[in-house]
Amino acid sequence: MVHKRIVILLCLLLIINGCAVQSSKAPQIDAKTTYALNLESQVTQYNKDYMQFFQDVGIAQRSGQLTTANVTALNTIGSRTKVALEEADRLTKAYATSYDAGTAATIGSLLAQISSDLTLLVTTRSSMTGGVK
Amino acid sequence: MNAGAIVFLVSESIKLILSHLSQRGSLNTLTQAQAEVMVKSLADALPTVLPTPEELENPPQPPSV
Repeated sequence: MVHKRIVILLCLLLIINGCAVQSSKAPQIDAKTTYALNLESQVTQYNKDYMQFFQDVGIAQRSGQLTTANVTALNTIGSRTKVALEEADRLTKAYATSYDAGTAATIGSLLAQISSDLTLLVTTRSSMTGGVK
Repeated sequence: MNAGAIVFLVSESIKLILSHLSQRGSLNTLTQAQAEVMVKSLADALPTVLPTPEELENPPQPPSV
């Protein structure tokens, strides 16, 4: 029950904080279009964050800041993040034509999971490099 | 220029404009029609498959001359 509340709260926070379009400032755009734009902006940003993170991991490994074991541990989390991101991408494409509320809710849950994974990746890498990014 | 290159250039341009506009909060000034076009364009620009962590860490090297 508590877990469910946390997931709902995280989804709300994500949507509020990640809003590229704010309903209060853009009343001319209907709610479902605003929601779609904000979901797409959020998913696009997470795709970029995932790609940038692992490009940086490769650079850090080549420069000796991360060991092979470190990279393997990060890749385990990253593989899970990749699956969630691809599902979010697929559902967001679908939402852009269906505007289905159930699909939007599933995307919201995926975004919460992806956000949590990306945070975990950054904190784990930071602890591996002794606080150096 | 082939069709793939044109689609890539258009999607990259849209992403660049969107990034610029969202930083300035100007997405709020879109009309309903423009917003609907933007929804479609952004959805089309989303990838269907992402590279694995290993592929991102080890990008292919350009051939040496």
